[in-house]
Amino acid sequence: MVLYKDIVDVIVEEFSQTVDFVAKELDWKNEHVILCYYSSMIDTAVVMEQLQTIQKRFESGKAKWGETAFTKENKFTMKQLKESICAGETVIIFPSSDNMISILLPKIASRGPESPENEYVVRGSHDGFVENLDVNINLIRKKLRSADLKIENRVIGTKSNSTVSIIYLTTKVDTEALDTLKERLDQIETEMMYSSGQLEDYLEDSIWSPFPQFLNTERPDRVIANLVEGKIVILTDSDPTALIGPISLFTFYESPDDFNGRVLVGSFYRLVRLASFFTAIFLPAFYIAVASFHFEIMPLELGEQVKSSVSNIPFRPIFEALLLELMIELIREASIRLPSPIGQTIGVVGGLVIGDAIVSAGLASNLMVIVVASTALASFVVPSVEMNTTIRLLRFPFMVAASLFGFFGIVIGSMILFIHLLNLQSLNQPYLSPVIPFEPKKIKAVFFRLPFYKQIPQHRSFYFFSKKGSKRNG
Amino acid sequence: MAKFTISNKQLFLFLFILQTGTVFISFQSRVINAAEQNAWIVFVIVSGLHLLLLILFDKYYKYFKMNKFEKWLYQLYWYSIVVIFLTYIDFVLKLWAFPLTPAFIVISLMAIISLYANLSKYAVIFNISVILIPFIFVFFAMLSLSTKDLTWTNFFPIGEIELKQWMEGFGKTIYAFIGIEAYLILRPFVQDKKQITYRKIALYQLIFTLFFVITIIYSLLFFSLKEIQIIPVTIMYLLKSQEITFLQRLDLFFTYIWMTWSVISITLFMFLGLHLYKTMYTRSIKFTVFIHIVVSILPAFFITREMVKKLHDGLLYTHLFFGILFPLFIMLRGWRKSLREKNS
Repeated sequence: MVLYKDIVDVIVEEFSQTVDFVAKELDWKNEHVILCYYSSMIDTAVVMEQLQTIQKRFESGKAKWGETAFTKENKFTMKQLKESICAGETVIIFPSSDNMISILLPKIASRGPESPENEYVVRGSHDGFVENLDVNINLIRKKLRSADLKIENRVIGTKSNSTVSIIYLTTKVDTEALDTLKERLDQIETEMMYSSGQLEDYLEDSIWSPFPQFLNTERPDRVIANLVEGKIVILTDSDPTALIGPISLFTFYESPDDFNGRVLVGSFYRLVRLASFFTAIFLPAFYIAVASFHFEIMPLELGEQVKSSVSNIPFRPIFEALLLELMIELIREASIRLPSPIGQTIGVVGGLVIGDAIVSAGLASNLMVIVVASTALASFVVPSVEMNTTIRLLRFPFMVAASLFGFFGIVIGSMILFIHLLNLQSLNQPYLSPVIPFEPKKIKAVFFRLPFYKQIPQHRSFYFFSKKGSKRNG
Repeated sequence: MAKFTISNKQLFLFLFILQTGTVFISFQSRVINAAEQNAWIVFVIVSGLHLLLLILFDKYYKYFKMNKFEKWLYQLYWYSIVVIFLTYIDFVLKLWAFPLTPAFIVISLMAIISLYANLSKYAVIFNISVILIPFIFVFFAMLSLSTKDLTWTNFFPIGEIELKQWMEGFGKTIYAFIGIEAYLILRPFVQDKKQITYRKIALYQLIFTLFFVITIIYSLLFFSLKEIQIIPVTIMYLLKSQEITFLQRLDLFFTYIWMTWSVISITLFMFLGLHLYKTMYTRSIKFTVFIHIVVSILPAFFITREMVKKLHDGLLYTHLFFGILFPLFIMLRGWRKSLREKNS
């Protein structure tokens, strides 16, 4: 008996004597066993039921009595014990035979698969991922009933032991991208894996780029559409966000709504969204350049209006624009942090009251309010939060460049941005595909919602493909 | 040795932007002043000769093997072109856009673009010109606005000039073909060697010729010959006279399109030089930065109307040497060498 007590003490010590850890002796026919679990991570009734099932199998003398659908037999080691217990399993240790049986039924807290608030769609599925890997995989499998769908797991984080799932369709996946992704996952060395954002940092090709190189989504329908296109999905056990790669810039402008609505309507709004990319980045810079340097470019009447509205403002257009942009950013941040009914009020108060007051006080012109508000609207059109924040950030350097050099500054800035986008890759694949490298057959799918969902694998590299299939690059 | 491959489309796009680049707004008045109404005919003839040259290049590019000295000579030539073009761009921008901004700021910013692109991967260089494709159509759309103002009788008389004028016209036209030697440098990198046929070369030359001939014809029909004598950049003045509902100054808008075009053209010239450097030396980043600093400092010494004109005139002769005579000599030497090796 002393022997068992010693083992229990050692185990309790190994688990830091935490109050929710339970390790106790149990009678098992002619011997004693030790039962270990975290009381916070199991459902006692379910575990007891399983325990009874195993005991019955043991007593009936079955050959592999310890192996059932929900149990697993292992050699006992302290490392294995820690991994199992931390995963929410209940472990029965058999000191006499140095074996252990794990009951694989952890109780993981999870909410229901509700519609994600940051990716709202008008029509279509309202399912959303949750903070539970099994539920998320279930949501995918529910819609993609294919034996081709393969899921591979990696455990990341020496302390957190977080599970990361790589999901892809074996018949569609681009193997080069898959190998790259696996290689990067295997190279991760960290103690803790907090979120999908942290994982993204490890997996991205260029971490200092303002552009996201993985598509973030909480929508199973979006994940499935991308899986069918040959892309790879990464899910973590602590986050409802799925990372999708390799992607191109244009992937961020596709919304499930495009494919749920009419062909023409979907195409029209796709074009509006793409145009919003340019509006959101360049409109304030363009206005600043015109107001500061290039009045003459506009028709006489409009030029006069701009002149007269600017002449009553005590600041240069750049300060006017920065003031308003900052105000918009503050309103945005405030409305995110507050509960939604108050958040909406903040939006109204900020947008209408402060906006009107700023103009009345003569701190900004009416035209600048129109420009900044249109820019904010254009940036919110993007169906991806990451891309939205990216383009919101990008307009600031363009505004500064326009205030210093006018159109010349915008042109120089645009060229730097373009070269950066040419350099950028997602899992080693070109970010501007299929526009660069130019693929005429695929390009229409970028700008228009075609009458049927045509699954086209993304371009793999900077190569062009000839009719015969030989590849040429640049 | 650099390892990259390109498609035939990338090769021709590279060549098109390289050759049109800075010169496409400045050479029309020179050709028209020299050959009057026959300017476009002169251009078509010279273009035909260049088509033959391209075919010759394509047939014998394997023999174009330079030694170290020749590589340095070519680098010097291309870096000089960049300096001259930067001088010219700043000169034009000073006239049309910002007279007060110091030259070194404008030139440095343009050089930074080239530096960034040349420090990037090869794919950037061969794809950067794609940004200009929509601008080509925008340019012609802008140009077409002046169609209603063209005086069609300016087209005639044709053929009534003397031999001297024809010859002078030929000389000025050559200006549009600067950079043709890039074909010899890049041709070996086309992945599928058989992909480039004479038909494709002819198609490229046809598009190139049409691009320039249209601009010559519009200049010729919009202005009288006397007006062209005092207008150095006809295209700019032509666009200045056009207005659309939401844009008063088309010329100003076009200036920035042309500037983008020119900066990319300069980037491509710098690439050619740096590419040759990389074939000789492995460590190239420091040199890339150094040469960009040099080419952005030098133009500050030349930005006067007279100097710009002198440099431009000088380019014609250097092009004849580096674009035609020298490549032919190197290819002939290479051919003889391979013949000797074969016999021995």
